Amino acid sequence: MTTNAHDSAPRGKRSRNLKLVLMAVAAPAVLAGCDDDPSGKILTSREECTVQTEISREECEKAYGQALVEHEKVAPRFESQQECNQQFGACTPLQGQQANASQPYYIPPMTGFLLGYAASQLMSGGNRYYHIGGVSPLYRDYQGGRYLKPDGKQISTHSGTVYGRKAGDTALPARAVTVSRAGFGSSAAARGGFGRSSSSSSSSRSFGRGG
Amino acid sequence: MKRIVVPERPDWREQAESLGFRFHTIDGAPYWDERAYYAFGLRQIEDEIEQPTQELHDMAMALVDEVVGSERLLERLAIPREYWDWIADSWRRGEPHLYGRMDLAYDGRGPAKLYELNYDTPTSLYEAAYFQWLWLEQSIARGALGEGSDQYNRIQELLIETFGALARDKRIATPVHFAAVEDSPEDQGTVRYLRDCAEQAGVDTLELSIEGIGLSREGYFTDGDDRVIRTLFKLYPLEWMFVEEYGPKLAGSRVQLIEPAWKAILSNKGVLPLLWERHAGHPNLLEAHFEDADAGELAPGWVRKPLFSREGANIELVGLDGERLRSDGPYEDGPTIRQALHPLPRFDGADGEPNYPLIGSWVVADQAAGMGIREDEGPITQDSSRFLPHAIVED
Repeated sequence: MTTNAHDSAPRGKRSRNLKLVLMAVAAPAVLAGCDDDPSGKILTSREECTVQTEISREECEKAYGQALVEHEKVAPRFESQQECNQQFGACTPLQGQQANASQPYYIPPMTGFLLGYAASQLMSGGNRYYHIGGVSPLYRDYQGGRYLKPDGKQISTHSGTVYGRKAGDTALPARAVTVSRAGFGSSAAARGGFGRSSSSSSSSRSFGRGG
Repeated sequence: MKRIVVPERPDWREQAESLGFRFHTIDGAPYWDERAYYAFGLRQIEDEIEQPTQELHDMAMALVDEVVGSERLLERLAIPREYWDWIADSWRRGEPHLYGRMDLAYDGRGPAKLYELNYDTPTSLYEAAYFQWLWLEQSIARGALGEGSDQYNRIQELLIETFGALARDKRIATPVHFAAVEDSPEDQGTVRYLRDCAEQAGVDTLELSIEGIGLSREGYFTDGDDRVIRTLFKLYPLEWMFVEEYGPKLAGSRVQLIEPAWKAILSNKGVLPLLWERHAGHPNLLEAHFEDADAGELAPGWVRKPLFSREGANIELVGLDGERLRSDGPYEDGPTIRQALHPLPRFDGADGEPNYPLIGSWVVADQAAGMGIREDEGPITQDSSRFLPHAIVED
């Protein structure tokens, strides 16, 4: 059989081409997935937050601070400053990168933030009480003037209130304040054999092996 | 079906490391093992593995439909009463599932016999779906296997297709959070692989640990950045979640689980006697019964398995000659079933050492998808068993 014949030969029982995109490299920076269609208010500053919303100055400060923290984590990353500037302008190297990083990333400035409304509050109709469903940093496209989410998708062309398509349906809010953690996982620890407790067991490695 | 000793690819360890397969060796013991492979004929694969897998899967799904509507059966499966409605709802809403693996005893001369279903947290996925495939492609390219060699393996392709379809049809909310136990490199690797498949399908994903899941005041599950978890792929047993602190919060959290709540029925070894009751004498089923308190001693030719057991733990079997074999484990406390003994076939290695292969037959989104083989030096496959590749080389 020639090489050509091999290329065109049917391969009945297996896939033709497989690749890996995440596993083949070091763990990538995790991009925050915002809501597909978040509802909330786009604010360009802390001051605007105080004026434009019904939440207190204190809460605005807090929300802005949260957005800034998030910004460090989820801002769009560029390998070259020029490329970043072309879209956003005033890009800077990402602070606090690992010293051994092969090359620095550049990120745009946070030019606004989205104060999300919790869907549960929007649904309850007539209730004017504002509930902060979460905050997300936003980036202003240098040329188009659009506001973009960290994943690069456009959220709006102007500041002010935006309504996601899903507003009012039963979609869960993008964010909620965590009040407790670690309510799952105790069985794994108790059954033994996972990671730190592995010395007590010669066998258990994984859950699904069966046998 | 033959066991064929072959040279290893000289660089497979480096490849494994660079491809995220960091659990190829576990606690110093080999896990991925390509010093031999199992060779099959196409007829064996299609008629005796693939087709029965599809049939058994369809029987299992019909069983779920029956069990969710029967308090008697839910009780029989020892599923906590407080989760019955939630489980039934998840089935009636048609919450999608992704995958499952059934373990089959097969010696090449059919029919394959179903040992059990691993339908909630099946692992050995990455090695079956990807690394095994790579082994075959490279073995052909290097001339170690003939150009016509093939493999029963569309697992990854179907995983990607399924993620894509679920997202496109808005049957899952994105981003999908993927969670595994923090300190298990193998489970972490498996979850990373599934994320890889989802990302290739264009689905946004995030990763966290099972222990890192949080709860909001409203009762939503959250990740480390206070994002509400809407779709959670959890490589973590449902029956464990049920008895943990957040278990009672599952229903109210409105989280969509993958695998979904109704998989609690199919990850339970009680399905084996239930399948037998409904299809007694089926060529791919082994006789099985629930073990009642007055069942007496385990007779020769029978195996005892806990309803909830993993990794081959707490299995007891009595050979036809009366010899008893027992595996230790942490699952002593629950109800058990008895299954007719059907020993794994024995394939001796080059030095005459015994090897007992177990077929892991994969189902992805209701389709028989491919196969992986675990091999042990003893007749009970455990988590210490090695993974060997397979090829289709005849017919």
